[in-house]
Amino acid sequence: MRLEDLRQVWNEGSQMSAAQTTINEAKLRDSFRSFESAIARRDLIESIAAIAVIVFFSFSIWKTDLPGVAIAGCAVIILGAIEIMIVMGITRRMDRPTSHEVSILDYSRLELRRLDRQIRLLKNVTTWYSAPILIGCAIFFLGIMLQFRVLPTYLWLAFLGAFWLCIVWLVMRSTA
Amino acid sequence: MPDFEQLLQQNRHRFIAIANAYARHDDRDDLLQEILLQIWRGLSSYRGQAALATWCYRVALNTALGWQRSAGRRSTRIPISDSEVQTVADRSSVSDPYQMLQQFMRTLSDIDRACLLMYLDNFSSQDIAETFGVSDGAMRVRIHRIQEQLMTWTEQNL
Repeated sequence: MRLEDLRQVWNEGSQMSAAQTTINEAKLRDSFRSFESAIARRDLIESIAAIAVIVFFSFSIWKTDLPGVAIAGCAVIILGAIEIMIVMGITRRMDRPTSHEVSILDYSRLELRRLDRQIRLLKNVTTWYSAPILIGCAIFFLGIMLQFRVLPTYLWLAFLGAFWLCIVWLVMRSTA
Repeated sequence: MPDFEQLLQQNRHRFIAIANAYARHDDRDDLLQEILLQIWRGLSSYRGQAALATWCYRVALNTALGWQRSAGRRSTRIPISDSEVQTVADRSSVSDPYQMLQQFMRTLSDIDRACLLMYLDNFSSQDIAETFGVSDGAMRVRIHRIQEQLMTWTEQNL
């Protein structure tokens, strides 16, 4: 049996198999359009959330009578949110799904590179994502605590330390 | 830019053949949908550098290979169950070369399978080589090896 001899068999079989499969082209196109809209909506929500954090803490600095330490915490949170937006924006641009139009060899290479970058980003998520926000929150709450003296300082610090460790542990566990 | 629905009409047998070659029966529709989605998304960037059929193959094969590599589908070959082996034997007795060819394809590696799909669809070794990003010579050698595997497989199974 030679491969050339099987070409006709294959083509007839494929045509027959295709004839038995129903594809509604118009419905398919519409579902693809709604899928693209859903992706665009998700990106928009992510951006709005980051902007909301920045606006909220900027407003707190500007309009409320916060103590100096809490203002410093707000500033760290704002800078952290900006840094996260930048890192995610850059990664999103670099890690766009590999074009399916390149050769299979190139596609496999690019996919591996993309995967490596994603792994590195996930492994370091505590430093670029969690740390800035958590440190900012810790400073912010410390400032509030020092001002209003709701609880003894050591209790606040213990609470913040435990909270921070818990978040780091959860993040490490999810990325392990 | 080519019309999506027209392109689908002309190439649907190819997409279905690729989905059949890379997915189990239960997952076939998912893979077919993923292939069509990637074709639809890539269509706007098609500039006619390659023939439309070759371009379609490239996008569809990359999608199928990526889909297989994704989580939960890490096996490089679709395992053939005992019942399927029995089915091959049954089919061989009724001489259904198309079904036998499909079974043979499942014994090949992902790349060899992709290569054979294009070859059987009457693409030249040069077109296949270009799709894979390798030299024409290397592709001819690969096709020759698949031919040898087919000989061995038919001796063992028919």
